[in-house]
Amino acid sequence: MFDWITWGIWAIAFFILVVFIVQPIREFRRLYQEHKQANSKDASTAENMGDDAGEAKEQ
Amino acid sequence: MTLADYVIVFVFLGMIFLLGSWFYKWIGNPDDFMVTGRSITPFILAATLAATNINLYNFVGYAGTSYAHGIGIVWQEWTGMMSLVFSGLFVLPILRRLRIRTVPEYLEHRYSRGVRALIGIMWVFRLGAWLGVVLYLAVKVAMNVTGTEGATAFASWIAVFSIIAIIYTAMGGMWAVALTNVLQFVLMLAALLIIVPVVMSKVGWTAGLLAHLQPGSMDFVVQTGPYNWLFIVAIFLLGIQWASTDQGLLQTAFSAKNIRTVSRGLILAGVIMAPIAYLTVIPGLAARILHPGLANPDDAMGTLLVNHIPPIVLGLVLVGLLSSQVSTISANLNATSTLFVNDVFRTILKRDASDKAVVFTLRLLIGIAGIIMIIFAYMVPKIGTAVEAYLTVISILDMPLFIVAIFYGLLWKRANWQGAFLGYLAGAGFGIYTQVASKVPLFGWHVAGDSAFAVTALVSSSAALIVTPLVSMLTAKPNPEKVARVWAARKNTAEEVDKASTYHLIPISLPGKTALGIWFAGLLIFAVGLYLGSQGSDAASATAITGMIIYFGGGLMRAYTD
Repeated sequence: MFDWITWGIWAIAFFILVVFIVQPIREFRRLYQEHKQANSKDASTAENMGDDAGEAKEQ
Repeated sequence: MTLADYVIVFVFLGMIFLLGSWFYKWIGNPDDFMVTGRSITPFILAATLAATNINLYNFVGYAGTSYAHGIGIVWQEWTGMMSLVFSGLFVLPILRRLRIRTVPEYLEHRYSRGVRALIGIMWVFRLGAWLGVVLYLAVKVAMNVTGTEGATAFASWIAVFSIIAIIYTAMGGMWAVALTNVLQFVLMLAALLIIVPVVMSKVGWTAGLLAHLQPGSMDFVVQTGPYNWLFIVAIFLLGIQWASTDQGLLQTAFSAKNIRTVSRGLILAGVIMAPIAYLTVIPGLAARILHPGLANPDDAMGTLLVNHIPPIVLGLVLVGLLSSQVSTISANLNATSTLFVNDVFRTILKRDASDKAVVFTLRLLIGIAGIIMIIFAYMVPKIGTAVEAYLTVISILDMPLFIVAIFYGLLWKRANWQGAFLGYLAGAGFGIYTQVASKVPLFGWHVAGDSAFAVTALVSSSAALIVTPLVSMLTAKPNPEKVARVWAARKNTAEEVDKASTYHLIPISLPGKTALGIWFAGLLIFAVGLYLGSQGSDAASATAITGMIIYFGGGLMRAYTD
């Protein structure tokens, strides 16, 4: 006889597995883009403002 | 284990190491290191919380306990997840709004710097003990499954587990912890999805368990026995304390992008862990049929793996189990280092330290915490009862913290630092006294060894409950600015309103109120289930589980309303 309890819970866990592969990848992509943008912004600000700005950021 | 299995395991360890270390360049300041600059998103947060929470203590301990006592142990995890939902709804949003990094830091906001330093130091010690137990369990399982023995094997496995976690955590901080934890969560879940059908097919699935196990082994809520309805009540209360004050857990939650993310992440983690908890428990029941008479029930999971999982698949399963351990170790190493640097180094030792110096000290402290962890792991076999010792430590230190920080700290304005300080010390002191009384009679009082953990938790929390208000009332009123700041954190900030990212502790919209009503109805049905269990009713298990499912459903709906 088919074991509905075990396979039902197994299927829910499998669904969670798929969702938690797909969703975190999407979220990480966004975080990576934000991080890259923030870094390039910092770099251009430092360039525009000269060495003093860079030093200030470090502090 | 075959050569292919070893290759799979070492490829995984190398991959985790590289991934964690890659985040080195993401660390620009102490907040990046401690709380990812508060950038974590809901699904990453939920997976990280789940991975931090699951380790071999669950895989091995739950399977072993269900092997010996039946399925009731699953409530330890289920009530823990219900507590996460409770904390995600009512406690963590307040703490996150205060923009703190540690619980002791909140204690300075609410009480004083002295209370912060006292509890910060206590928690460094407590996390060190926990890490030692976690590392020891990982090494024991690895030795059992690989069939390696002796001091050299012990040292080698210690090195494998600890060095990789120490280095990548020191390099990438919370970023490394969070993102490697996501991968590790996926791997450990995949391992469970392999183990369960394999072992269940050998025992004839659930029908086979019911037919071959002793009557009552599959009853979730029972009237008598060590994991009866009373155990469920006690562990639920301890769960709420854990979900509201545990540094390893909270530090991850404080990394969340905003209040809504905290709430959603915690509730999501609680909901997804519920079915996973069931899957960690049933292999123990299957082992009881397949391998009856094991001298040590904790060998149930290892015995199943060695005897029923084929080569290569075994390597993949081991990777999942090791993932659970490495993720817990890295998260708690980071928590220990953060506690010391945030609450002792920056508060007492060097208050004007530069960001660069703080990040350097955080990294150094992870190395030192790692060494302490290894020393503790070596002490475990010598003292023999390290797990009990750890339970003793939490029964003494954790409940008074919950009473002082959350119960009085968030609910009673008149509580002051003197009350909190002495209340905590009284709780810890009476807890130690009760523990001693469980070993030798003290002034005619002797606590039975079996109930020492529960009695100590009860005594330590009662002492804090009584002493804190007494001392508070006898001393000066607390600083009104401190109280006002904490009370203000119950409401949305102007920034949250501007960004349309508000979260009301008590919802104002109809869908929000309905969701909270469903959540509360679930809690009531769950309580009725426990009451029925106390009366020995056959309907107890179904009622309690139905209540829990409604509770989770209501919590999840609530997280996506106002």
